[in-house]
Amino acid sequence: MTKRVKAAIPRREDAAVYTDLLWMTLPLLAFSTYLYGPRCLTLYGVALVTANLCDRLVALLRRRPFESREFSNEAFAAMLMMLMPASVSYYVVVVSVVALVLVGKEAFGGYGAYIFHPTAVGYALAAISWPEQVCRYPQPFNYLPLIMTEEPTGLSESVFATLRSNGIPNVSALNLFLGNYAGPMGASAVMILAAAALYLRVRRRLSLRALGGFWGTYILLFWIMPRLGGIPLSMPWEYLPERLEALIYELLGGSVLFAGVFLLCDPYTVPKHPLSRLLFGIMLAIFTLFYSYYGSYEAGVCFAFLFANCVSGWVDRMVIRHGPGRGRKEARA
Amino acid sequence: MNPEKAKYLAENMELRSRTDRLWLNNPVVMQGLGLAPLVVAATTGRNALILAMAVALLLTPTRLAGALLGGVLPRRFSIFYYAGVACLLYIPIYYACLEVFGVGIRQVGIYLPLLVMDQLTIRRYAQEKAEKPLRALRRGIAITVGYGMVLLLVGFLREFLAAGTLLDEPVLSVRLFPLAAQPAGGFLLVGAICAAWRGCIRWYKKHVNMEAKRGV
Repeated sequence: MTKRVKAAIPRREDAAVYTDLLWMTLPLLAFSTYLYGPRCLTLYGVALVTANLCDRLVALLRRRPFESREFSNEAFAAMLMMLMPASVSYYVVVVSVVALVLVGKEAFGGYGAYIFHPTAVGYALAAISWPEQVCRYPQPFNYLPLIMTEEPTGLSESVFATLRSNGIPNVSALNLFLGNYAGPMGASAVMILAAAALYLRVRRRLSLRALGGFWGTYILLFWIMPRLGGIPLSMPWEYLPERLEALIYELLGGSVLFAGVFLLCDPYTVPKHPLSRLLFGIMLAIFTLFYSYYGSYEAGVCFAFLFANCVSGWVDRMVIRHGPGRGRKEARA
Repeated sequence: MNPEKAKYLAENMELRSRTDRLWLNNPVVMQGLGLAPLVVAATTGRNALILAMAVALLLTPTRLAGALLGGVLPRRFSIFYYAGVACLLYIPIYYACLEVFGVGIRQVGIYLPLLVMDQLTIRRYAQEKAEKPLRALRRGIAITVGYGMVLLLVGFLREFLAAGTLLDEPVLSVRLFPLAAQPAGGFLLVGAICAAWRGCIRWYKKHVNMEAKRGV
């Protein structure tokens, strides 16, 4: 009788990136639990369990061993939860995470083969399907019950929604900095996000070129074209205080800060070549500007990510083929 | 399964796979035909009924007329007479749909007239030899039934998931998957149906083969 030998599962090269990302969502979760109550913990738990079950289901359907030490699905689900409000229903969370794993990741071939960032796919699906739940946020310290039988009251639109309608948000810069305003669960804690960015950079998960390209272009574009009502078409050196105020809102008032750190760490949707990473960051900022002005949903950066992912592979190939030699060998490897 | 039947099915599986337009070789699931109206226009059960009626009245007569004309006219003009017949047939079909569904046919938009140029309707023109009229009639009916079945399934499912209704009658108070009303949701749903359908067919073929082997 032959004995079936269970083959050893090779460890994924980039699996540690997702473990780091997952770890880095925990401080944000703690902060959101402080702001919105224990409901954040249960939402996060539901998302993680759903992602894990989807992973097991895909392993079963594809007849391959389940990789218990690979946390990409869990990391994507955790990042998605950080972009959601604390008042979102469990059903929306489950459907979004299922779509994130099955449509965003597995439909394109699974680990390392997906072309769109799965978190952006999950968020886009949720925002289009349930905008009344995903784009309206509870006030801080308004602790919501774990199970809500009725529609939550007291929800308000985000700072970005006010900016889009050409209004002036009624949130002070200090509150913006402290995260004390109605916003996504994990995207309002500026200090924690800065610490997470530093950690991810030290661990070499975050590309400085992509980060610099994105934030440099984003700040430049919104300095030139602020969305704050009352600033007429003028030269960039005019209306300086108003421009600065608008820029602070654009930087701290929505989910751009979170997406600009966490989503940029993905090793497969961000190009490989150093120059194409810079170009990717610039493209992403330009698409985000367009979405901020003309888009219908809050986290325009997630939709911008999907657009930028459409061309990121092509940009990478073009740069490797025609660009400068530095980094070519590394990118090909 | 009866071993005799399993053996017979296993031996004729390839032939059945080619001719069965309902399950084993469905025009949508296995060949990817007529996806544009299915994904974009069939957002409700009523829209699916309109499209199904138009396909039922258009596909088989076009195919039959193409087969008859193919016996008389040179084959290199096949695209002209297939498309010409479909265009001529579309005029009475439009009025028939208008009579049955009223102005509701505007919900389907451009996808109703586009059926005349859909691969589903005129794909036979690309074949080198004209098919026999009786065969054209038989296959036209089979494809119509197979396509109509998937069309109605997708249309009613999308309406149920997106709005919680069936033919505008409320069934659920919640919207399970509002994206189903959008083309993106249609793609996802059709993809999921195709995956499940193909998985069932693979399982069926495997099961028949195993039963046949067991019988031997």
